[in-house]
Amino acid sequence: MSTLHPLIPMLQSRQDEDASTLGQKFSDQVQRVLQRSMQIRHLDAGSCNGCDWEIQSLLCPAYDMQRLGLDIVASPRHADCLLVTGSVTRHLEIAAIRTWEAMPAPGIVIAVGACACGGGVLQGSYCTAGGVKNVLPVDISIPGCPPRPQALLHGLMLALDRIEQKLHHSNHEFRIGRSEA
Amino acid sequence: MRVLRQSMRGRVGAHDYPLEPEAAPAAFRGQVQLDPNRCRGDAACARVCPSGAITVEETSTGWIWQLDDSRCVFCGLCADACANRAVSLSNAFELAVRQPDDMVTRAEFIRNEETD
Repeated sequence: MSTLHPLIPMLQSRQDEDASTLGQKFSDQVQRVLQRSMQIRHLDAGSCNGCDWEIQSLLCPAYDMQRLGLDIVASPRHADCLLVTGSVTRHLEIAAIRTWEAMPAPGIVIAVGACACGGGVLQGSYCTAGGVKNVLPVDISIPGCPPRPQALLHGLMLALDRIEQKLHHSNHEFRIGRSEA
Repeated sequence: MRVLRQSMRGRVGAHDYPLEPEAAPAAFRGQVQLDPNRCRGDAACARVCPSGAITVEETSTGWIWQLDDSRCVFCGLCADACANRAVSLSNAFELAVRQPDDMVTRAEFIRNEETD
């Protein structure tokens, strides 16, 4: 009989530890800041679909972003943050602005990929705005062509931090989640 | 194949990434790195860069090497073009930043007349 695969004891020991200690850390943080899971709206503003597939792979069982309290929703009106991919072509400028205006405050804009961050290879082209920052107020930029799913998760962690900043260090009063009164 | 064998022997869970650091796979092309001791300012990297992410600017005393992550497409041509092997691609992929200006890496060199 062959010996056990070296990974299996490791996986078992991790399962024992993680359920109680590590496994809930990030989703606890999301719950603390928003009192619910973080809703993300993905907007394709003229990307080549590379970044879109990396975002899509976050929903696969291998990355499983829902276990962390993150989900992609179908409308910007439900969203806490907007993931914009692509360098914002002239045809999609108005669509991007309208999506941003439809989001409830405090909206977070995340530029995903080299094109969204600064134009990428399309920098200086007549038909693009040259990055999301020229159209919308960008809070987090995730460079990469495309960024790995892990890099996206890293950016979303920064976004959660930014949402907390906007909620607590702002003159406006935002109502998110259950009201305590 | 490795994943298939794993899944036959037991459960395969999701990646532990945000809870535990995860290294990039072998031969991954991450952020461009410059070895300042080897750079001679010949701007070969800037000439081959397809997106203009790397710029080398001559100054009166030396040169300024600048990398803009917001344009880099991680193709690795700069590492191939560099005769001195000063430019290489690292494994870093967690490049998300809050300020767009943080994506720019800038290195200012002062030419040493005795050695160059």
